[in-house]
Amino acid sequence: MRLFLLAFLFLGLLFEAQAQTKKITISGYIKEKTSGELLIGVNVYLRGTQTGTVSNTYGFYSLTIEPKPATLVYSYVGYEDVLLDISKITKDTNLVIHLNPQVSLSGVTIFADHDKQSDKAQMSVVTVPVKQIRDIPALLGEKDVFKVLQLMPGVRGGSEGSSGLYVRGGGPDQNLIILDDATVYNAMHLFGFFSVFNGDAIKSVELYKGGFPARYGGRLSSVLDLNLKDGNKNKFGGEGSIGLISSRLMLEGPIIKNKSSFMISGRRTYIDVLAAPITSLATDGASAGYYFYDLNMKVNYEISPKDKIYLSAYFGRDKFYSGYKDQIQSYDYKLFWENATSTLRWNHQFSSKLFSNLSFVFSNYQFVVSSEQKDNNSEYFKLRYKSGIRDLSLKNDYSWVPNPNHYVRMGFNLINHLFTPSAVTIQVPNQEVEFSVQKLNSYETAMYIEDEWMVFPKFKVNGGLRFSNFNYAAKSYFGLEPRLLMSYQIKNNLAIKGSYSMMNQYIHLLTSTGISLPTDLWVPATDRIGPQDAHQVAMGVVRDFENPNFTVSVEAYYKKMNHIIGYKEGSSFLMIEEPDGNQEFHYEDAVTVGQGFSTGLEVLAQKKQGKFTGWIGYTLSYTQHQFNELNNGKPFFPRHDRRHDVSVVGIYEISKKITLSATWVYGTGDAITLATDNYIGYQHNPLAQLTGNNQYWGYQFANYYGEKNSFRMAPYHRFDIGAQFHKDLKWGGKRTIEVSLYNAYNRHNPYFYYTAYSNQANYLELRQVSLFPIIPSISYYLKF
Amino acid sequence: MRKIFFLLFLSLAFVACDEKAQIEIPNSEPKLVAASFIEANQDTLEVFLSWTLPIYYNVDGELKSEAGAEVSLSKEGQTFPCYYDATKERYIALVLGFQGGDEISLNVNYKNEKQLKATTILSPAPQYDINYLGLKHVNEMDWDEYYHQIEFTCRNAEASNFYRMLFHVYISNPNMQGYTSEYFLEDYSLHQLTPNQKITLLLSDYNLYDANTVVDSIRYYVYGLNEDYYRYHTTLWNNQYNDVFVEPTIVYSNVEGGLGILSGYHRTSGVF
Repeated sequence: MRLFLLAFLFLGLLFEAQAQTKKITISGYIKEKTSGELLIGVNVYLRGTQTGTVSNTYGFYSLTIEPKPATLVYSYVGYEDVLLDISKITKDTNLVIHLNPQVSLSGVTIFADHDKQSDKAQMSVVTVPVKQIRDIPALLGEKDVFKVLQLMPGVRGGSEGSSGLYVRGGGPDQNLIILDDATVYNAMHLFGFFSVFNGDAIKSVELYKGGFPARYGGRLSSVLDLNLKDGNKNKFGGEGSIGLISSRLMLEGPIIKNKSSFMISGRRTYIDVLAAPITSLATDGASAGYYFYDLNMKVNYEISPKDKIYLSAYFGRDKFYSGYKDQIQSYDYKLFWENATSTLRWNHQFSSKLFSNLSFVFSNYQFVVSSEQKDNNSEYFKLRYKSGIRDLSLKNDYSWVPNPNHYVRMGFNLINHLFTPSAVTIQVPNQEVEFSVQKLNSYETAMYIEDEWMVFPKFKVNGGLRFSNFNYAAKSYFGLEPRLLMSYQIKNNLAIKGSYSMMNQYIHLLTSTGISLPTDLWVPATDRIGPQDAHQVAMGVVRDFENPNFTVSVEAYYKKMNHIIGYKEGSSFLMIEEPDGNQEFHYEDAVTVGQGFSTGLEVLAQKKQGKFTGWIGYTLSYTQHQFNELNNGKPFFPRHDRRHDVSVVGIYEISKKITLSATWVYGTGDAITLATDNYIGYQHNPLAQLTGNNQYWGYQFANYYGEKNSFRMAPYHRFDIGAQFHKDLKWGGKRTIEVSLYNAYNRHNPYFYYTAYSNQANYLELRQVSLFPIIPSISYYLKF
Repeated sequence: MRKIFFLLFLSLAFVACDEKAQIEIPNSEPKLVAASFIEANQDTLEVFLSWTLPIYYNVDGELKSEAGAEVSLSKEGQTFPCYYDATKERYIALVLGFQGGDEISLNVNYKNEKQLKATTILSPAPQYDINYLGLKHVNEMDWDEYYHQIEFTCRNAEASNFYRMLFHVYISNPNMQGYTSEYFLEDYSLHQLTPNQKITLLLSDYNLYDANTVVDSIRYYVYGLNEDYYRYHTTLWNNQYNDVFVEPTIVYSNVEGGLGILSGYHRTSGVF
């Protein structure tokens, strides 16, 4: 902490010494005019110059300039620019700016000079406008943030329909997913087919694939930062939709006008309700079903112009259930997994140049299986299995803008992780036994400082340092993580960029399959299995075009991953230990440590404004792992290695009433291990040898696989198309009817392969199961 | 309305498609498989030879041993030819016992079409401490279980050392005149240990259901394994699991030109 304050003091003196002339600071918040929602990432700059800044995650901005006649521009994609004559401002001023959403569909949009990728000191970042999430056709009409992110270069999903994210060769365990500062540990519903994030409640989505700012840490491959809407401060409103498998509703409005507002949102599937008659008939009176739901809530209160507090919460649950009851006996079986997060934030503006955020965060994920049987003789048996992770954390961040050339961020983060690997409770009449492996308590702390520095107008640097520490039992790990990003504008609209990031990851996800399962288990680094780390370098070129306005970027990266964990061949984590009261939890016995690298080239041509928007993305990548205990020590491709990945996305607003959209994706098939031959695997059998039996009586049939993951599944490709029909309703609301076709040309993409006897001949053949054929869907969306 | 929703849902529900994979199967040309486990200080050694069989589109093939190859074992330029025993369906070599630390090679020539070669180094006599800690009685949910507790300490100096154990148990019951029994208890694990690493084995013994039964003596057999033996057996045992939640295990092989294993072990014994 002392080091942190010293650094702060030193930088303060340095920057003040640079301020030779008297300057003024214009600061405040930027809000959407109609809803009062704080806007993130709004460009604020002096017209005709390179002097400017952007609003931070909390909508705050600060710009220190010389007091002379000039025009200040507030610019944000999808909103009308605000131009402010500041010639009469002669002292520090606090200004709250309201931006008006653009409603024109004429295609003539203002291309903000400073909303250029070539002008930003960042790279390897994907920002997804929430509107695009709504416009892109989706499986069963379920709009999903993750599915849109998967369409970006460098990001791929898991198996067919999965919402898992694999970023630049990293696994799904290497993504930090944060919702209003709270870590979400299992972001999947229905075994990964849908993510837990309800688009109606989301304000912003930002994915970092590399060039990580020092304020982020804790995972190797990516950071996905999502923020919930604050709620409309001016008037009551909402939106909702009815789809084939789920419906959702979001309500928002002022509690005290311009002072306080709320947002509440919910979503629930109704597969169980629709299928109930069938399951009852098929199971002779038994009930069975599945559903998931999400609830998001946020309230905020403006204590004073300089102080705001926010309370946000998320709760989501997936549940399978089955039961039966007659006059003699009954049984009840439940399996559910749930996430709960809650964040209490206090934003305070110390001065026109210094802003702080203090967050208290709670996050909990648990997976529970329970079974209960009863009969008329008062006999009963009850079993409950539980695993999960619970976090309590304190986070304090400061934004300090001493002058237009520097944007300094610093802060610290303290997290208490409590891991519950498994706890089993068994109840029988007059007795209750608990088999519980010990809970694992650990602390993760981090301090960081970063500065976005405009060295000169064409050259920007974002340099930072993160110091992290992890304590579990008597073992401590320390990490010093340098971060550097440089951007140089070769000429107007053309920039080259480069970055280096070092990341540490102190917690591991145990999963034995390529799909996301609720049984996946988070565990801490221990004295036997240390933290993972990664070094990533990236180089890129960005070119902004103005007429028509679109951006082309090309990035190449190389990422070296050390101490990554793999699962020993034959290991399964469905039941990691027998529930023996004397056993300690040793996941280390089932994993092995290795290394890997990923390198690739990503090309993105993106058009964000106008009647036609969309992008074309291409990724060429190569990922390899090496573990001494896997594949006989030889390097191998992980399952998610994908040589070529293409995505084409187009959204066309024909008129105010009709929007058409389409996506096409192509990806090299997954690398899997496939048995091609059988043979007799003889074993030495000491018992047979000692008892005088045949020494080689022991044998089994073995499968020959070649090398690990040496077989490629068939390539994946799919075309989706959708049309939205909008209508303004007389009472002021807006409705949209969407029809879409998922997998429009009915491609049979392999979900998995298996071996079975042929129907035509007496031999085994390789068969494939494809999950989703062509699937039409329709949904109804209403905004009021 | 409910019926309409119902039909709509059914028609659009996840309709998984199951069909023959339209993809080229990797080349599965038959490979020759050799297996031999060489015990130090033995004068008869055996080698087994067979072929792999393609899994897919194989109509009439079957797994069988190969009798028509030239097989030999060698040590430091000394060659020991093997002859084929049709009754036992394996090749036999008569040798003057190989010693711990010897480097042994296996050479197979099948009609000048396929040549296999493998090399392994025999383990020296294993160093260890072993102690019998007595019986452990566990009563869980009204069920009695007895375990033999055996403490084992690795005394080899290598960074990784491999062991396998087997126990011959002799029991009697004073309440049942003349009752004695003997049987083997296997420790089904292979152990990889570092120098001075100590483990405690718990061997469940269902022959001790009567609390009056007495353990008279136990003869232990400790096998010092070489790494080839350990890696081959652990991967082979995992290979048999056919579980969608488990990554397939590739069986370790040290045979060039084909598949299989040439490995060795050193057996020692004692009595508690």
